[in-house]
Amino acid sequence: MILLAAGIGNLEEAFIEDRFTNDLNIIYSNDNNKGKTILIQSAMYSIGNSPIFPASLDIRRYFFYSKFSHNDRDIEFLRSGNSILVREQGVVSVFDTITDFKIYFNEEIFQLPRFVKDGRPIMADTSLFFQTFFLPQDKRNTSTVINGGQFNKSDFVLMLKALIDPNFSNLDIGEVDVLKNRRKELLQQIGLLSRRLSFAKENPVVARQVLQSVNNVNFQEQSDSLQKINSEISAYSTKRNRETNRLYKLQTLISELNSLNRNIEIGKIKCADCGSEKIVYSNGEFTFEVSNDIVRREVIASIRSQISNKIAAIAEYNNEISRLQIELQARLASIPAEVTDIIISREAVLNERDNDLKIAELNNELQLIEQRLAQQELFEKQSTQRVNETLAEIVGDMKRYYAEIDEVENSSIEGLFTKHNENFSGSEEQIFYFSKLVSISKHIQLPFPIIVDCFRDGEVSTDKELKMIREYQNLKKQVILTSTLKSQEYSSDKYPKSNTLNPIDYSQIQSNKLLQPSFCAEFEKILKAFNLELH
Amino acid sequence: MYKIKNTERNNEKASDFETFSMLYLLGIRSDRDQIDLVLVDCFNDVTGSDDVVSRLWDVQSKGHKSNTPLQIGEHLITLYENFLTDFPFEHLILFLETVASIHVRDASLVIFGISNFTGESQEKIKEGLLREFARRNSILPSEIPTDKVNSFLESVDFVLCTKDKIKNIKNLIEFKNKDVRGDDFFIEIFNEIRGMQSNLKSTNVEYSVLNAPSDILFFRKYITRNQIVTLLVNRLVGIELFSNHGIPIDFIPYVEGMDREDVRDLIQNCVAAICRTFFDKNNKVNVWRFLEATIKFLMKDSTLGVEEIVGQIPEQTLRGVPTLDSTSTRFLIARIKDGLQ
Repeated sequence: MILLAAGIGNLEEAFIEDRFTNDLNIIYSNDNNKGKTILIQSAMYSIGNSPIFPASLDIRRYFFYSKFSHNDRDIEFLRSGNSILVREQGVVSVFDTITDFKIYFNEEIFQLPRFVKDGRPIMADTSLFFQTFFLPQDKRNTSTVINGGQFNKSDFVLMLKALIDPNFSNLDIGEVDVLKNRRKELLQQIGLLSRRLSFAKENPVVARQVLQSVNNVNFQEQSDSLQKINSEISAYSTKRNRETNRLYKLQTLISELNSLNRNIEIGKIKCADCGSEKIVYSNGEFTFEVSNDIVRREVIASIRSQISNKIAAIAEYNNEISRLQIELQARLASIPAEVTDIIISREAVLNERDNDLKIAELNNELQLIEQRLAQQELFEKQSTQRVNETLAEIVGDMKRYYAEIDEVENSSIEGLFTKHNENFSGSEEQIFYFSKLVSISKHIQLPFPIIVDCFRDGEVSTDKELKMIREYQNLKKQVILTSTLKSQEYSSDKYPKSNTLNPIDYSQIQSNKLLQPSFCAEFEKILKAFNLELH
Repeated sequence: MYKIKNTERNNEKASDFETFSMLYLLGIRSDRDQIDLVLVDCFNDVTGSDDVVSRLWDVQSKGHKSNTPLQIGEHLITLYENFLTDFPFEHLILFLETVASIHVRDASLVIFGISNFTGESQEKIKEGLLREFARRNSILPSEIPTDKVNSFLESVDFVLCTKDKIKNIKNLIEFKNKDVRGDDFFIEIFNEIRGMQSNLKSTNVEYSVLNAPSDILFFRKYITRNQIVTLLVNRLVGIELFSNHGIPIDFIPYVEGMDREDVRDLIQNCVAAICRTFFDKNNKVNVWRFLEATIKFLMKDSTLGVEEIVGQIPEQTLRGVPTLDSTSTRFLIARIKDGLQ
């Protein structure tokens, strides 16, 4: 994605910046409060970042806009509150929540990395993901992620690993579990059948007795009653297992529906001017919602009641099974030992041939499973190794860049973040973040510009600054930096325009007056293009 | 030729009243089966029509607490103006909240012609209409040819609104177990229809010129009977998705010969798929397309089997709802069919 334009505004005041080029862009001014941060934050906010605007800006009053070029397609984004509208080739899509937008982003723009958090596979948040290429001015902290919310630095590392190798944490854990369970079952069955087989072979006398006693009436009765209990137990077990299966499915369904349901209730676009919710999508196709609150509530309630019914039923089956098992034990105890032997071994003796075949069949399946599990394991091992190697290279390069810029023998950098109590600040902080962004960009090809708000804060010397600029240029991709100059630097024309450097001067903007009525007409045009008619 | 004027935007109470008039056309009138769609805020507040716009049921709705005969006459103005055009306004209906009993001969009637008004009221009504027409056209009342006005008044149906949201919705279709639903359920549907109606109102067509009645369809300012029926069926099927444990008769062939427990699994999977579809708000246009097609075919011929219905739905429509696999699609159609029988 290449940033083509960014803007913020409503019908009364607005600002749009569209002078970006596909090289190194430096937005600079001779003083603070010219609106550089607002502009950068607007662009990021419009694509789903959590806001870190200056406190003086009431974000509820404005629309935030950006236009990117992505794979030769122009895509425009317009955000108001938690709603984001996306316009591509004249088609406007509406996302009422950031979650919905995230799903769109994942499908249409860039597949967001997935990793396992708290035992569950999740998709990275846009805010976390953007930190791979974006550095805001505020809330920086080299020892953890910025504005992390539910995410911490180990999540960031897991996310990077997933970016290095999408298969790394995307391994289908469910499937491996199924395979492992099946292997256990097979081993048990094979064991049981083998014992029966060997029993028949090793006990020819019993085997003969069995064959003779099959027709004995007394024996038959005893045997039948045991068989009956056994088959009852197995019938109950089957029922219980199926109900358990259904219960799991319902529980999954309900959490799935609940999350969909939540999305439905929040996020409405409001007119920034009058607060009215009556904003008309003038060429939309009107349809009813697929369901309404009452229907959804009722469905969730019936699923809940089915879940509790199933839990009760499963408990019933379990009681029944243990009752029958006790009965079986009691029966077995009352039957003479040799008869018990015969009954137990009857299966084995009568079905010797079948058992043989069955074992062969089970062994075949077992082998296949073993192979697949071994493959999986090898794959996991290789993937882990590859990912860890690349991660080590990223950190290695970070150290190298840091040492190079700061002209130190050896930096104290040990990882993507500093230790908890070792927060870098001032120029060290700048160089740390620089090293991290450049190193990540070098090793992971991300189709996003590098954006650093305030890239030389904290007394970074001109010499170091020039080195950083050169490295940014070496990346051969769009880079957007902002910078506040001292008056002396400003008058010396610090960033001369060149083929690879696009300086954008904000000094002429009046302090705290980024938003101007003169941009309104253009901004209204943008709103109209999104089919928004404010009234 | 027809020039659209006097479209209006109004408040919730008035919207309620216009929804009642729409439901009157679709659910109460004896000739309701001939009305395929209701145009919103085009010719009048609402106007019923067949699907090719060759016959129109024009409704002026006035939800005022009280109306004097003079005011009633004034309310008739748009109907009268429509009557004067060459568009096929077959039925002209003034939909009122109340008419005081002193003005009418038989106060028990809820639908009546001009003759039910007392003689004095009839005169006032006529006077009100003439006055309003003259005012609008900047002429004198005496310049209006009275024979036209008289034949107009003879053809107007005066209808008193039965302001019962629940009954009005229930009237729309027959559906199994419909009556076990609480009042909220029907009121919510009423509100949804009202919401759609006011959405349609916000598209402005004022001063557009139509050459033929069917040109009005171009503005898409209408709700079809099929949409309303689909809405109701969808809500009725939706609300009992998990609480209805029966297997619809038309689904039985698909589970014949299967083990009982397998059937239960299959049905749970189908219901879960339908739930996901009904909770997914990102695909509503496609879901409605599918549902409307299903219901259209079923309404046309209730003897159609599930496979025949599936066969008639365009492949693209079926593919548009990826949350429904082929079995769940058949299960949903069977449920709908079961409910409608």
